[in-house]
Amino acid sequence: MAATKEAIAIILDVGPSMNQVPPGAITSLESAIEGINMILQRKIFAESKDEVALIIFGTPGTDNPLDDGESYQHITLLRSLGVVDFDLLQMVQSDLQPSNTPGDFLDAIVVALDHLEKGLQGKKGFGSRRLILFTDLGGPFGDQELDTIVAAMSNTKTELNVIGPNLDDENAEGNGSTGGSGGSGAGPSIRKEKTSQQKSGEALVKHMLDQVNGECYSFSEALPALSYFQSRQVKPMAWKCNLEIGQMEIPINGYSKVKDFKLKQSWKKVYAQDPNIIPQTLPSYHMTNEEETEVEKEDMVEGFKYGNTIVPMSEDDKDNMKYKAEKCLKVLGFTKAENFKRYHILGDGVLSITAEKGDEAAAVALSALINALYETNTVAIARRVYDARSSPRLGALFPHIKAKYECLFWVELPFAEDVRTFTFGSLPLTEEVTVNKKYQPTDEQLSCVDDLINTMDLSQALEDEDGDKEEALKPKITFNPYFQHVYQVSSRTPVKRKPSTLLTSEEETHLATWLAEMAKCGFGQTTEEVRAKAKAILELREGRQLALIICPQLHGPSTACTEEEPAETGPERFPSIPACTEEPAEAGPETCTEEEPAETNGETLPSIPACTEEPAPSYSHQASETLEPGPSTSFPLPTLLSCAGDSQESPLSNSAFTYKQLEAITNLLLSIDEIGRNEVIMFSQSLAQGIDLPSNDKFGKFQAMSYKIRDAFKSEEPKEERAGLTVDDLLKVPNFERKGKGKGKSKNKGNTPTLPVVISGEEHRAIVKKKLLEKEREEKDKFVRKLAREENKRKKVEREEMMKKKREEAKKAREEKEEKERVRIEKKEIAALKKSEEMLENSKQKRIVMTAKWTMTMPS
Amino acid sequence: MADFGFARFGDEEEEDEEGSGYQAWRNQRDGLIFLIDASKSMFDASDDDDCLFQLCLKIVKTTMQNKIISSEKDVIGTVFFGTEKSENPSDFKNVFVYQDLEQPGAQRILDLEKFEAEGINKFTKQFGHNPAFSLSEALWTCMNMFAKAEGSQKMGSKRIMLFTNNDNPHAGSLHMRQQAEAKASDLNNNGIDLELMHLQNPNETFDINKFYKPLLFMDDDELTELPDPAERMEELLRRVRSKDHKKRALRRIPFSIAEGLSFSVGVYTLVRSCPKPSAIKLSKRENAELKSNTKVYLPDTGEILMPQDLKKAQTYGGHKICFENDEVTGLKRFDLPGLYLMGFKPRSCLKKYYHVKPAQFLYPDENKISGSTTLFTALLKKCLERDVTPFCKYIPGRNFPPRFVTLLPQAEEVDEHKVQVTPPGFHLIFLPFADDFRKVNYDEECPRATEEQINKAKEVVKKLTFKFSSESFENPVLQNHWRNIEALALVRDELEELQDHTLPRVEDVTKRAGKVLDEFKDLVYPADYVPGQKRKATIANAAAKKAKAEEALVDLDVRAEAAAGRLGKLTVAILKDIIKKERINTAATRKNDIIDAINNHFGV
Repeated sequence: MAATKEAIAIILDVGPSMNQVPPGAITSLESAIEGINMILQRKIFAESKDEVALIIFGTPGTDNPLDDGESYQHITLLRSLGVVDFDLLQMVQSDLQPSNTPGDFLDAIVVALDHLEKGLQGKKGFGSRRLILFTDLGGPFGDQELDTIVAAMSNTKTELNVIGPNLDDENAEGNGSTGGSGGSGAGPSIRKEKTSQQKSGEALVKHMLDQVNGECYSFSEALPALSYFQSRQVKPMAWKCNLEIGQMEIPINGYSKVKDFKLKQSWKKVYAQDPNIIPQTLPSYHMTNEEETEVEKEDMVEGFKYGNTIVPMSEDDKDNMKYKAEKCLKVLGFTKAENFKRYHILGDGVLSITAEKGDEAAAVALSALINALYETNTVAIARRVYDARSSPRLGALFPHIKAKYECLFWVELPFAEDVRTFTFGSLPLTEEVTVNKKYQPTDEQLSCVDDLINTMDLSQALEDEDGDKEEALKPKITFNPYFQHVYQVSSRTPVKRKPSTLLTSEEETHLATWLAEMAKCGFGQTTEEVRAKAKAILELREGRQLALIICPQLHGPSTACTEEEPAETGPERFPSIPACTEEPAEAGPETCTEEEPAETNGETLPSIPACTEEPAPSYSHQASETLEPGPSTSFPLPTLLSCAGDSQESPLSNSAFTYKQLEAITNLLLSIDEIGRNEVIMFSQSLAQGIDLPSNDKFGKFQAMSYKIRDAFKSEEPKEERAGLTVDDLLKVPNFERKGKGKGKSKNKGNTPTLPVVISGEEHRAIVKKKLLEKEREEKDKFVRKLAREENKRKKVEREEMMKKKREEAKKAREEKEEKERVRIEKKEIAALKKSEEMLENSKQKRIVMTAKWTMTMPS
Repeated sequence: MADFGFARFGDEEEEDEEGSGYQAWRNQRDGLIFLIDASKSMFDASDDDDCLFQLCLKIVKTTMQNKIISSEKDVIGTVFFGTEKSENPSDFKNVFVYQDLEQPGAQRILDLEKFEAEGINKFTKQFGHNPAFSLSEALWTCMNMFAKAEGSQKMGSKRIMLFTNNDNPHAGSLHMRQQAEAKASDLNNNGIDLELMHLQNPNETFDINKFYKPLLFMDDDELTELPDPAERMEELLRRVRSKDHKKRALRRIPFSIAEGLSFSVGVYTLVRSCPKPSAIKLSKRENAELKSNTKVYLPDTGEILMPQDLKKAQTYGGHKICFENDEVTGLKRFDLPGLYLMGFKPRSCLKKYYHVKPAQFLYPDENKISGSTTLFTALLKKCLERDVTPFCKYIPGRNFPPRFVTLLPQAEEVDEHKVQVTPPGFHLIFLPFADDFRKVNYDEECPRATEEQINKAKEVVKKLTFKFSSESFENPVLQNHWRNIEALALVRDELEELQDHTLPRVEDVTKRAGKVLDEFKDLVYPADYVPGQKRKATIANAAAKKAKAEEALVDLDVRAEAAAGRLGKLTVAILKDIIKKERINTAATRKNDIIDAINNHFGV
């Protein structure tokens, strides 16, 4: 009996360190949940019979079999070993809460090992065990039992995968913890410093991984790695046969290396009114006459057509005629590799051929053959019959040699009947071709194509964290968007939506407009002005309540908000907007790109060309765009107000701000004084231009807050039922500008979609979002209290400032000086802007010129 | 020699990809008329060889047989000109319609065979020769035949193949020459292609410029340099074969280079597995084909269901997830059909084992967007020069999910007779997605061969090297099938013998490489090695295993193991030994039952 199933215990840390994040990052817990979600989804859709248990640690309570009141505390066996179903998926998506209690991951491992051991008692067909531990190792642990644990794991041949810590590289990509959010290339990275606790945890994990079979992935690596969990689902079945060359035979095993992946199930027809009824089908046969007389089975015979001649045939005839073949893999001969035509390959996959397992003589024989073929650049032509029932196929065996293994690849080749010789008109590729001369491209046109090839080189389009160039869109890491789509749509189970406490659309429009301008203008107004305007905007349309919630300080101390108000009034006062959280993320960028040109035309400023010439995948892009239009100078606020006035037509009319966004905005507002207005301008400009300033506290703080705003506005996918999927974006033409070529679009580099974009789980994000909404009330209350505290603090500072009134005059003088400086900077900026614009134009022109040229040759 | 080719070419492509709307396309039939010069010179031959006319008849027969197999709906006709006798609807002189434009069947093949067997002398008696023909009238006859046949159903393509060895039939008459040219132009306007299959006897020449050049209107997308005149059967057959099927694009789609710049390409299928035809149902009494009808009904009530009563579903994780039919197709909809250029990669990025689907072929389509050919040519030329391959997103049709493809550039090649061997264009290679890769566990400890062994293997390879071409390997299953069908249809007594080229010729191999192979075998295999058989050592192994098991048993505290629930980890053999040792009375043979018995015994 083949032991093909795997028992997996997923161990998740929900302790406090998993939920602490640097500003603007997704928490480790969220990444972990996304990862688990993916594992489970894939198990479900691959219809895996593997069994999975879920153990979480760092829980406030304790619920596990080893609990004796003293040890193994704060560990909960949430779900015992079983085949993955939707309930488990749902549980992971909605029931996992962060806690304030740290847990011991070693204890959790023990619980998991114990559970696997017990859970597998009497179950058949399990060939392997695996622990997948999601943790950032932030909790304390006791390593007394380490040796026992390691021993237990090696004894039971349990594999250990640790997902979370970044073990080996110190300068790893800092946004690593954002895992699935994709395209984290943009912007300087924020690192979460490792605590000493984590460092010792890592040392321990390293030690364990040395002892047992396993791997460690950082969250950012986890998603690609998880894909392999899926590919395990198709358990390789060996095709055993003897490779025959004349009188010589070599026992071999064949395994599918590449095979066109199909959905495991075909679409089944069900009765619309009750999906549980499977309709039956009944075929009938009729004469082709007018009455369409039905013919009974006894009166039928099978036959074949030969042109217009019909040849009836009895079963016996058919049997006698059948071509009979036996299972084999026979080499007919060898031929030079150039006789093997790449585009002739038939079939839906590639078979890898290695020597029969454990047969060393066969391995040596095959190795000799593989190397001989390789060195002579030759392939073998062979006949293969899968089994006695199937037809013989013709194919090629070509060598494949890697450092770790050697094999032959088998591909199917066509028979004479399978190849069609069509005649196609000659094309004027060379001067010698005499026909179709009129289609010959000019030299200019050819150099156009040359440029195109240069600018669109994919082999160097990606840059990894070490700055090495690599090939973009590698097949091995590019997932089929269709399957992703089907999985995602299918896994959508209706979840009750909580009434939201979000803003009304109008309020949001104002706020969004205002914010976008804020971000864009580099906060060019004085704080007072900004505040006043913001307040005005907010109040403009009965935004009073809102203003209370977000910025109590706008109203002064008298407007301390009542605690129950946000959640209670939310549903009533602000019509809840359940399904229509339509990309709040767009709030920022859209106002920039869409409204701005209209407003700025005629102003002194040249309008910035919309930088979305090639829409890149949304997640990675929008984030940076919020800040990208930085080089612009300050906007007169009236513009803003008029923007706001147009809100009815605004594309944002259905969007909603999240708590996170509000918080981020408020924080920034509050800190403008503290950081200093000019610094804010400078910082925002340098941020937008990607210049790294020597880090100081102020800048760090500002940066953190900017990122927080940016991330608060980061894309969250549209959540319409079965809506279009953003994997579409993946397939949009990516941006190929190479860095350092001065094409002006270097900001957008690295947007070529890769794996994380494709498989990032919208589902997960949706759930996280929902959870966020549920937490909204709680958090808002907390937040309001915090604001009040901060307000007090601020007042204190103000008092101090009063004391230092004298200094203000000096400060004013300085400010004036700085004002001049600012103007200077502005001028510089305009120049820079023009330059960058030119560069943008240039690169755009490449394509435009190309287009124009061709358009000329094409009178469409 | 019967040659069975191209069965049902390219049809199945559309079947596995539903909803593509190509049904109409598939049902189209093509028309082909063989217009054969029956002048005296076509019958000149030395004693041994067949004359050119016989050659033509053979070609007609072979083509007909092929058509029956590959595209049974096509209609074929045969017309002679330059005969003494005349037979045609318009009563033109010296034009004889030998076979009308009809779907070929067994009878026609038999007729042609009889004709051929009776020899050419009979032809002279039956039809005679008369050089006073008018080519214009001959062409006119063909045109009428197409018009008549098209009355019932429109044809996909209409093609006349003109076989002649006379490069200037109307040398004396400018008028007849002009008439012929006018008629050729008429044909072109009516969508009828005229293909010249010019022949020559040894020591003759055929100068196309003398007469025929103005008669030949060719579409740009089929325009190549005219091949040399054919002298031999193979050359002619090859030319006929490359032209006897009008190539038809699977689809015509835009190729987008950037927003605002696209050109149009046709996608063609050049290679596809052609399956054995499936049997059809006949009524015994009338020997007529039946059509099938499938009803969908509810098992409980027997109610017949209409398509709108049905939904589609998949079951995952115990949930049945239902979709409307259009949702299922909608799931596949990502973007408009077309090829979207993503960038370029060096040819080396395309690994040989990146294969999930047979390739297709791209050729520009000037009709939809003019200028396409020029841009395509420029792209092809540069890709060839720089050895790069365009990398594209490919959406074949409205409801097709996208795939990534690599376009492999190919230059045109012609053989020594100027017949095209490889057409210019891009091969479209489908790339696998990450989902398509399987994980193969390679044994990294596998022993490798020594230099000496490799060198011996090289000798083997050298001895058995040949020049491979798919053309020399026919599918034995298809050949076997059609030979049988043909034998029954043509009432043959004996089956044509089938030579299966996919079986190695053992004697040849032994003769050429037997010795080297033996040496190689000695070098890599131990003396007593029998491939595929478990080594003798395994017997010893088994004994060792048993001893080990017993040893294990000694060490085992069975009661403790049972109490700890660890019995499941022991092998059945050991468990049975335990039963024996502990004298547990049970007839259990299955592992779980044995464990239960032991547990009972110890009262665990």
